[in-house]
This record gives sequence, structure tokens and C-alpha cells, in this order.
Amino acid sequence: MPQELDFNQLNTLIKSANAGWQAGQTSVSDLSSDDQKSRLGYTPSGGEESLEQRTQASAAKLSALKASVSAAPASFDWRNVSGQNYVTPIRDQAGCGSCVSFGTTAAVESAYRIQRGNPGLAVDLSEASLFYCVGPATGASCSGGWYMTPAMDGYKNVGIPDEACFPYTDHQQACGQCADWASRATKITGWHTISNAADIKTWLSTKGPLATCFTVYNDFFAYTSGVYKHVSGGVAGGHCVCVVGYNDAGGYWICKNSWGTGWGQSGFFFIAYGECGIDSTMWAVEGILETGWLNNTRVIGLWTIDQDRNAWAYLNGFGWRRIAWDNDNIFFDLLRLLAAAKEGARPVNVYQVNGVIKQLYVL
Amino acid sequence: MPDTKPQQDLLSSVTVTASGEAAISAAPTAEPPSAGETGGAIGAVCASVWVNNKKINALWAINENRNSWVGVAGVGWVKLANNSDSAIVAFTMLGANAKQTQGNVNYRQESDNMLHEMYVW
Repeated sequence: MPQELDFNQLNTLIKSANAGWQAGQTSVSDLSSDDQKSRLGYTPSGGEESLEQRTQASAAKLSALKASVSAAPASFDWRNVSGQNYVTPIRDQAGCGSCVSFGTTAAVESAYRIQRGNPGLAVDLSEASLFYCVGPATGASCSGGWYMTPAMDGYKNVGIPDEACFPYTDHQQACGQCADWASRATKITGWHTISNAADIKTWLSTKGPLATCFTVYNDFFAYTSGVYKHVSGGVAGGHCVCVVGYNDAGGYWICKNSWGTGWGQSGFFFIAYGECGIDSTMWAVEGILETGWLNNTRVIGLWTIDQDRNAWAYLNGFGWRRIAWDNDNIFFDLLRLLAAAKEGARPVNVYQVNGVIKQLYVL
Repeated sequence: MPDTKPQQDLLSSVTVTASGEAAISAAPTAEPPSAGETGGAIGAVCASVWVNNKKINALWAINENRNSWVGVAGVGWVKLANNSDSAIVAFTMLGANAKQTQGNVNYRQESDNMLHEMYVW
């Protein structure tokens, strides 16, 4: 296949269209058409907009997207927030239409780092668990893809363990996660969609990355740099990724793809506002419910209210955590120990389940 | 017979900074205070009000159901909400913690003059 000639031809088309990006050989550009389509996997369902509706909605609000937002900076990039990178490494979905799982998980992993205020937090959640264990009940498959609502609900209602519990491989398979997956699972507090242009930028610049989906055209597989706009080729399919920033001056979103580091800008890409339905609707992760030990922290605040067994402790570096409310003696034992730790400014080791303090040592 | 209240006098002025409303299944929303924050203006407690950056300088309880008070510096005695056993015990624990540590306290007082929500830093 004379790829070099095709790239030259494509770059000529890009230049004549003044599209502002560069094409070349990538990790997926030489694959067969079927293999390229297997790198996608967004199949809207359950009331989500079709790819055509997304494209139309994005184009219709282009002027709003280009407008600056008073509540948000002119540019923002979670890969460089005062020199800190809150985006987890680029993954590779390879030959399975599991992009929904990767786009969603990327947003959750960044939300975890941001919530902890720790860009170095070692968080790597199992895309395989989400896709092969949670997904089948709502039709997820390598060949048929999936959609966003059940993926977000999977994080909210079921929980997803770490990557080591069920490492990802790119072929259709039964759920094979570890026996203790439930105790290793991460849940989110909730999620919602955002469609308003200003709200998208405000969320991105204050809360965290967003998952989104768009139409992939054939020229996209050869993207190497610049701000992508569709120039050539037909529709390959729907695809989901994670938006990690934006730039008003350049008029583009900064996105994390799941095709490995051999594609795009080391796995990332810029795409123009209003292009291919990228900004019609995006999916926001509201917060992380954590399970596991938080060691050597301190209690710096307490809160309660006129409701039964409702008290929270503020753990330094981690924020508010609710105290278990199973019964009166559990609630009061834990509250008293947390208060003692605060009074003595003593370190504590806290075990939390889905963000609820269940056990602690005061040291 | 009405509940007993503490008889020993504390300072009597009331410092009010903002109003707020409780939510069902509520969760805390405030972040830790920055250094050097001080209390706000004085006003009447006729609705839901937040009283911020106070110290607890006294505690009082008696052998009556759900009757526990905190002495707030610059304010006086404030009764803890008495709608729930677990809530009033939690309030008492937080009040004791605030007294012990002399940390800053932000609390919400309602028109019944009772304390219904409390942060201790």
C-alpha cells in the first residue's frame, strides 16, 4: 500500500483546506479498514444522541464555543497545572471496540488524582473489568462497542477494581476479575452530562477532565499533530476519549486517546471546537468514593448536623469522609476516636469503604 | 415542664455572618479556614444564620433528655439541637473537642435558637 503517497496527498488536502494539522504514519494508519474500526467502539443507545445529532449540535454552537468564558481561563491543560500532571498514562485499547471503557476510566483516574490533590497518585483502574464484567448486561462487546450511560453507571453502582485485578487484553472474553475485586473497587459519587459550552470549559478548568464521544473519519487515523478538522475520507465510526483541556486562542480541545503513544502527539490530540460532534455533550465524574487504607494522616476538622448519625471528619490531604453510621455504638466509637486524634494532633490510619470511615487506628 | 438551661452567665452578644439552610442527607461543604480569618458583623438570630470563627469556652449538660449546651465566646450559651439522640451526642462530642482544642467553630443557628450544624477546625 503506497502510504507515503497517501499521506502526501492527504497533507496537500489539509493544506488547501487550511485545516491546520499534519498527517503521517501512525500506529493505526497502516491497519486494514476493519482493524481501524476495531479501535473505535461508540454505539449510542439508551437515549444518547446519535453521531449525526452530536455533529449537528456541535456545529450549531460553534460561536458559543469560540467565545471566551468569564468564569474560566482562556486555556487549561490538566497535563500541566502549575507543572503538575493529573492525567494518567496513555493506554491502548488495541483491537477491541472498548473505547467507552477507556474514555470513562481516563476521566475517573484523573478525577481521583485531582480529588487527592496528588498528581503522582498511582491509580490504574481496570478497563477490562468495566468492559467485560459490567458491560455485557447492556450489550458491550469488542465487535459491537458500547455506550456511555452504563459505563458511568458501572462506576457509580458497581465499582471497578485496579488494573492488576483484571488486566486488559483486546479480545472478547468472560469476566475474569480477581476474587477480591469488590474490596478493591473504586466507585464514583455520581456523574452527569454537560452540554453548555461555557459550562464545559468551567468544569474542565475547575473540576477535571470530561469523557466525550465523536465521529471518526478515515483521515483521523493518520493524525500526527496540529488541530484536527475533518478533511478527507468517510465515516469510520463513533469513538470515545477523554478531554483533558482546551485552548480558546487556538480554538481546540486537548484530548487523550486510547491508541497507544504511537499515534497523534504521543497519544494525545487537539481537535477544533465544534468538530465531529466532540463537544455536543460531555460526561462529568462528580467525585470518587474510595476503598482502602489512608495511612498516617491527621484529623483537622469535624462536622455534624441535626440528623441521625451524620458526622464527618476532614482528613488532611484527603478531605471530608463520613463516619460509619451502622448503629449508635459504631458511630460514637469512631467519632470519639477521631475527636481524640484531633485533640492530640495524633496521626491516624483510616480504613474507608466507598469513602466511609469504617475502621481507624489513632497512633 | 420546660427543659432546664444553664444559669451561669457568659458574654451575651451574638455574631452573625451569613445565612444558610440545612439539606436532607447533608454533607459538609466548607474547606478548612485560612490563617487569620476573623468573625463577622453582629445581627439578630431571627432565621437561619451562620456564626463563624468562634471559640467554645464552656460546656453544660444535665440529667435531662437531650439537653446539652455549649458556651460560645462572645455569644453566650447556645443549646444543641435536640431532635435526635445520635445528633445531640455528636454535637456534644464536637463541642467538647472544640473546648479542648480551642479550635475555630462555625455553626448554624436556627430560629429556635438551637445549634443545628457545626464545624470544628
